[in-house]
Amino acid sequence: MSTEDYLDLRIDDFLDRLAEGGRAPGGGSAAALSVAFAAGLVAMVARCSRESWDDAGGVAAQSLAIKERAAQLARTDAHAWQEASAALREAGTDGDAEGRDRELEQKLGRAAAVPLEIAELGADAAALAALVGEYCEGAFRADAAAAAALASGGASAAAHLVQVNLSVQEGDERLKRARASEQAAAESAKRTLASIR
Amino acid sequence: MTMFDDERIGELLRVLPPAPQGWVRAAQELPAARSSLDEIVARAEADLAFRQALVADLEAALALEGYEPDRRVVDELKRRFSES
Amino acid sequence: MSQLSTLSDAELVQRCREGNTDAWNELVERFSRYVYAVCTRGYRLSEEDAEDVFQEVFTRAFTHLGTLRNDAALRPWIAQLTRRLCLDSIAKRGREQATDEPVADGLASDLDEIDEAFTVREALATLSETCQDMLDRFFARDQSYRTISDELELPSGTIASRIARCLSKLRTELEGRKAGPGGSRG
Repeated sequence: MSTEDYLDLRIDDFLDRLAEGGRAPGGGSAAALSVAFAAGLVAMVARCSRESWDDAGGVAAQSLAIKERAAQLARTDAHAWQEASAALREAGTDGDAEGRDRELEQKLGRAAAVPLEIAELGADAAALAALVGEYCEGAFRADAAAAAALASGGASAAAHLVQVNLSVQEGDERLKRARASEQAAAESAKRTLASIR
Repeated sequence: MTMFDDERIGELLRVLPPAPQGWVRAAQELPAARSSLDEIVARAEADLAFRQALVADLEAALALEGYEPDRRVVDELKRRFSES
Repeated sequence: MSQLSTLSDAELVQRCREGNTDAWNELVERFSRYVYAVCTRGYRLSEEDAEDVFQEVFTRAFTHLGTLRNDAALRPWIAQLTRRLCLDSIAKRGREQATDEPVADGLASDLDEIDEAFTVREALATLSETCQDMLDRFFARDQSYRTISDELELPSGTIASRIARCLSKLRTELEGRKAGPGGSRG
């Protein structure tokens, strides 16, 4: 099945695909969907808080944008991962070694860029969850906290994927950004979860 | 015009991402490209030797005279001088 | 916000006819997103074909601005030109017969949405530069709060709230256009 259509699967079928061995979708797609779930929850909480909070509409709009981007990244990550895996398999074969190395570097770079974007979206989703948790109707505070936790989990998973990507070394700017996003998301989640305990 | 709420406005803002910067720059350079084309054509009309050189080998003739026109100008010159 | 960005389409056309290259740059900037969206989102042209159509639209606009019968009708003129060139491109690729019928499901509604989006962008141009920038960076350029914070030198913890307030202002501007005359630049 192409990466373009597995997100059209029913949830239980998608989960079966996730559980299959050795191919997309994998950790990056799962991280992206975690962020998408978080953003969806934030949108729900914001929509339910319109009567009492002037910024609710604007926050809902932002969380829907993040949801859409995260869902798209779930597809993009699978594709990038497949391409990088294929390039890695070809790396040791005969032929134009220099050309293959260039292609490998490019594809590994792409495979790191996508989880970096997921991590940054996770930080943004967590920030929105924290904001909505502060102003929402009391009945929805737990959903805001759940959103923050999911966003933080997604950001953390994605940051780890950036780290283990072969093209990313210590001191790499991408790694710094990924870790900063992971930390920001964790702080937002901690704040939100603490506020309902 | 339909009534917009914040969510719909956000969706609509996403419908128009920026065009690739290179495309925009190339389109913005049209007046300069047109000016360059007009100059070369005027010269070709006034200078038979230059015109013959353009017909024989357009790109070489332009390079020899120090012109570095963009692709659109070259394509338009080829069209004009191949018809003449 | 440049002075040119506040000109109506008719005023911009007039300045272009006078040979004002800044006005031409503004015209391209103003319509580039629209043309790009019609090519890629509307007619789903390949990147290569979309680029060809994009350049052809502005080449013809530049060439024929002098013959525009109604300067205020620049937007529908560019819209029609873009659609026609997209259909020509598709026909040339041999994918479908070039007709005025939609070439894909949902084309008509996609084009309507693109038109609606352009109206929103016109309204956006009336907001403060900071609001324009923030809304464009977040929604249209997919930039993160951190990137927006760094680029605009604003505290990162305030970005989401600021975007919400800018959206509210944009909504008010759009409601004002619906309610009364004379809001559009076109």
